[in-house]
Amino acid sequence: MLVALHNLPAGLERGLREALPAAGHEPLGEGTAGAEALVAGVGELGAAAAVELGAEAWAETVAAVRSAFFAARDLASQRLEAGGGRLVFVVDPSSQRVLEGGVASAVAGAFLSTVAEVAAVELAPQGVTANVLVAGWSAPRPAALAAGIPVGRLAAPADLAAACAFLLSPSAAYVNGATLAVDGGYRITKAAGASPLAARP
Amino acid sequence: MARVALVTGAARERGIGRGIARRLAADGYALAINDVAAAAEGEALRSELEAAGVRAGFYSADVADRAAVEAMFDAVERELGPVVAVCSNAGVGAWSPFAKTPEELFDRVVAVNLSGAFNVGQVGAQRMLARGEGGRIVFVSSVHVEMPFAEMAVYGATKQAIRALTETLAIELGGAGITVNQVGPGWVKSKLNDASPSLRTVADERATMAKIPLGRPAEPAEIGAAVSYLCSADAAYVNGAFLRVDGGFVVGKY
Repeated sequence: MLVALHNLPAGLERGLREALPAAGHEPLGEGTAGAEALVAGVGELGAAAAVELGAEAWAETVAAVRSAFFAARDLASQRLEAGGGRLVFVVDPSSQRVLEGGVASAVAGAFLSTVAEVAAVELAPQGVTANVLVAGWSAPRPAALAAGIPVGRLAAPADLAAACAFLLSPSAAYVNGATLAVDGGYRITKAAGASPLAARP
Repeated sequence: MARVALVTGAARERGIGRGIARRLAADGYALAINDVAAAAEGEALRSELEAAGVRAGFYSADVADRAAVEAMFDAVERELGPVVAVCSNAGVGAWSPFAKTPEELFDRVVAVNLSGAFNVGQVGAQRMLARGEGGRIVFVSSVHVEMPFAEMAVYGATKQAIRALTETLAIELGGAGITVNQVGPGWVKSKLNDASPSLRTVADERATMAKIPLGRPAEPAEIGAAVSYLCSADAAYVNGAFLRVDGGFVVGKY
């Protein structure tokens, strides 16, 4: 499958470019022209307390969401004509369980999660599925986040790339509107202590 | 002097915001009524509340405009007093097939529903923090937080984003005695829903209402009652919650 990669965190993008060819996919650059599938994220949004998040950071958050939304709209539009396709929205774990300092990625991820679900409802009759990949906390996020993750470490790019390859594979043909959390169990835990994202440098 | 509540998007007749404003006024709050337009309706509501002995003011401001929101809080504080309860309700609805979503639709809905909620919630929170006396923030989100609806990707996404904003503010502000919660209306007899494709004909409306276990839409006053509770002393320990007021719609009837 020809896969467009849109505004993914650098580590994940590198991981995907390594892993997708082995799984029979061909990753493309920016833009959705010619793509059969799209993996869209919001880059790496910064950490700040919600009451302190500045106008510029808020605008950046909205712009990142907007960019992912229209990449998905364009891919959907193309694939509804061609028939069949895959949308994967990559979100941060904060969109499922919030943490202090994580408002931007929580808001952006929550937004795209619902976009994925509505797209899944509307596009599936034409063979286009849409799903959410919750990309576990990974570098360059603070290593201290591992304290709140049962698996005890941050995610490696390969962990996330493998899950993404699955969502793009024929095996996932009936997976639609799903949320695949590759987060080491972050969502189901409550770590003691302060949020590493709230820590001041 | 009465404590002050601010409700955004509160002027329109048959709007959820008006139902919230009336109820908070009945609870004893002085009322700051905000809306971006509908000045005549806003002034009419102000007169109605004042006739009932409630101190009230109408404040025209676009919640998507940060400077306008700051100026509105300044004016409310000057004229009515510090705002101890903020209800971010202003919102617009829009329908489009996902694959054909116009950029204009995205920008308009996100500006009001999401950036508006962020502006009102953040400015309200900053001022509550500065005073150090706690407070209440209630966002009006939607059942869209719990289930997707076709042709409403942008609207639903803004409501889900408000869920994340509510939860993050709740954990960040709890230590300052500020609770942050969201109310999730389902079908409401409101102007926003008049444009819904699901209510286009009498048959459409009947089919839509048949999906609601209670068999009817909510009155704006019923959403007001939920906001009233979340602002009350009874709800002092309710924080980061989603209070769904939908007649059981999301729980589901096939």
